[in-house]
Amino acid sequence: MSLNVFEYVNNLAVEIRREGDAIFCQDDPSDGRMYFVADGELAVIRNIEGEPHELNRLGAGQFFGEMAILNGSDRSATVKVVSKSAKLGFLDETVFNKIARTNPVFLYSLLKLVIQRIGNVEDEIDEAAEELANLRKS
Amino acid sequence: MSSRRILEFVQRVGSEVYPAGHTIFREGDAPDDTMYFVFSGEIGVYKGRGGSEQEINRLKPGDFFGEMALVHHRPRLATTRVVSPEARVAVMNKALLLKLSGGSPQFLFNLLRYAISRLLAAEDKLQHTREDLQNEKRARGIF
Repeated sequence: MSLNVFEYVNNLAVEIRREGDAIFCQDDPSDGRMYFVADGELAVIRNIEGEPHELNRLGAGQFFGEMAILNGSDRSATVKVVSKSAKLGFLDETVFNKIARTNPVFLYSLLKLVIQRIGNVEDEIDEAAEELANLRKS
Repeated sequence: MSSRRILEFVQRVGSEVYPAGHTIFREGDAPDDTMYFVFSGEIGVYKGRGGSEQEINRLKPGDFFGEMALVHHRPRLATTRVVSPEARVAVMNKALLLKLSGGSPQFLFNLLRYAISRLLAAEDKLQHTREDLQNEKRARGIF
């Protein structure tokens, strides 16, 4: 499932980033921007005990950095371009609120996406926990 | 969330009050597109039917549940039952959420915030579980 935010906004600010570029880094303070992937592939990386671990990959139609708008929290992971280039749309709080007001489907779609992600992460927790339990049993 | 804001949301969203012991949905129930938000009281979440039923979670005001119904059309994964003397719960389907989203998006914003903090908590838990798994593998010489 994906959300095409470009349907909701004309003139959404867009930037093209190159392979290896970090859009933001873990623990960066929020700059209030949320991003949508229009094209390309990005990796979400988190430092665990000082070592970088790739958590997941993002492609066209996916979004990231939404915590910056909704919670104003520090960036919880690093996001890097892994394709030759990536086209990203971004919104700040003002634009976000404007879309939310004028397009009822927008917030609803975003909520559904977050719920979907919770489901995916919970499935992964179950898998890892099961593997761990089996290992401890053996 | 302050009690005044909760009250505002109750008025805007509409809610149901269920008595102690009331089952909201059962594991295996056919899917509908309804999710719930707890305004007051406590809800127990149970897995396993009949004699093997086990409480797996306890929900408090500010929590939501049944949200997977918005995403997948799959049977309910758990049973939810009121464990406090009563519980006030918002019952939300797609139509209501869309209406809220257009008319008074604040509730939906808050729901999104809750959803995101739950996502963050789940990601943390996943990270810890994977670390444990990694350590266990290392300890056993598996790489």
